[in-house]
Amino acid sequence: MKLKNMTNKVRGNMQLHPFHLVGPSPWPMFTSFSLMNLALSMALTSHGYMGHNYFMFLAMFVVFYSMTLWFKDMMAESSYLGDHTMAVKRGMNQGFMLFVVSEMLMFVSLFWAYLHSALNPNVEMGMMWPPMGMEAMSPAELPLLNTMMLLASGVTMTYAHHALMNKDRKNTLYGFMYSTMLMVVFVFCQGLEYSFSSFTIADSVYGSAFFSATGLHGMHMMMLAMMLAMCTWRVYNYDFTNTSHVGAETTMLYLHVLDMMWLFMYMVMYWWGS
Amino acid sequence: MAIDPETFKFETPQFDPRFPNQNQTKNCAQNYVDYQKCIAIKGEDFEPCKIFWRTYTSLCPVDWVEKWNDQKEAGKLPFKLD
Amino acid sequence: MFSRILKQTVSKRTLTSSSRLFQAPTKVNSPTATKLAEVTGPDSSLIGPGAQPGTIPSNLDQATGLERFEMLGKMEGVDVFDMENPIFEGSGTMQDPYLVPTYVGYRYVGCMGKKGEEHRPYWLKVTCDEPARCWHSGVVFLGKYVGAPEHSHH
Repeated sequence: MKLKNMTNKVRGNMQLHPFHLVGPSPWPMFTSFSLMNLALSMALTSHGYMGHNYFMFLAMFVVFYSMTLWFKDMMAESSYLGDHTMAVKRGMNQGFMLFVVSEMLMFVSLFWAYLHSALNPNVEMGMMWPPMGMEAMSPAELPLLNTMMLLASGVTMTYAHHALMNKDRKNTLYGFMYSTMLMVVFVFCQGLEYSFSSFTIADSVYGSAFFSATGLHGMHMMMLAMMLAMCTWRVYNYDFTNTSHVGAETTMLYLHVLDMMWLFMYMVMYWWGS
Repeated sequence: MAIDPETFKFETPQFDPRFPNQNQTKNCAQNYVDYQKCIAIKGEDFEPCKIFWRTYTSLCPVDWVEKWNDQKEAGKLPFKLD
Repeated sequence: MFSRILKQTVSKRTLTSSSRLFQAPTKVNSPTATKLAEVTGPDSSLIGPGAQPGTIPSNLDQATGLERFEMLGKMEGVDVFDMENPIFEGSGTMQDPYLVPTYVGYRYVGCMGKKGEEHRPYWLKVTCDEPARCWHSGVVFLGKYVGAPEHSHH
């Protein structure tokens, strides 16, 4: 331990540990209530207890609003107040890893649900997959384009990351913008594909398993598009440095994990399953 | 297909390696489907089709067969027969 | 009229960290520290110069606060949070207790026992006033005040 380089006065004035003890904040409570509101109004709307979906959209707006407020606090704490020491960053990265693992397990359960019926279709399905009377989507059309777009987004993401680490602002911005746009186009094409589908989520176990899995993935893609848009903004706003960009790292990890999930989903549910 | 009490020999299906498990649901359904396919091509009097008939009559619960027969008449049988 | 009300309302917000930020005085008292010795406390010496327009900043340009303090320490090989080996004086006996550096007059220590006779961490509040003895292994600790004299609680 070397103390000679810093005056003891300074050391006694600083926080004595590297961890970030967050201050009192209303946003966890606010977010919890808005999420509960969203869940309730979604359930009530989709089960026909309300003749409109205004409450659902209001709740969605409030969720986004509380997320915005929470995230701007976090950005202030990291970029402007300097609360995020190495230990704090490591903790956030580890927390995100755990989140990603739980997400993967959730997708595993959906694959299990799909394959449970697909590998041994029972008598009620006509002992075939897709079940008797169902018409699967063609894997060679829009889904193939979507697969290529997601693979391309992995490339543009790596391009953005390398530009960021090499302090190339222009190419970092381009990389994040291309990735954001690919995500938006993916979500749009997925919506298009859904709107032309010959079956719905209520049509047999095939429709349920198919739309639960691909729909959940699609929702994650919307989240990812928002995360990437936020990263683009933070690069534009000089928030990220070439060595410290936890928000960008977690977004990249998430993008690659969801890309991989899509590849499995494409191979199993669109290609093998049709 | 009527049963002649003089010539009827009581037989249960032998082990089928396609359905090695205790649960014989799909063995029953598969033989029902195969019988329908067989008589669609060869006619009800074609003798080799009867092995399917004997198997599914032995394995299937009666109400399943009745349900499928009703569905078949209504053209709503949930099996692919071609 | 409206703008005045708005201004009053905005200036009264005290809850969130960003309002802390916006209300913080912007005058710079001391230049940005580039060495640990130039840090004068948790003040403007720990505010980085910021990025040049049109560039990606480095952490040395951008980092502020505790993050900058830690980084300046790393650049000089100083573990500013004492995470690795804070106790390096003494042998743990009553005559020669382990001296625990403290900036506030006390420090919590998890005693792990003697070498070869390790036990679960047993937590002690070690002060500068009298030796603290571990109930498991009998190892003795004593606080050693290393902060500025005017901060001492004695």
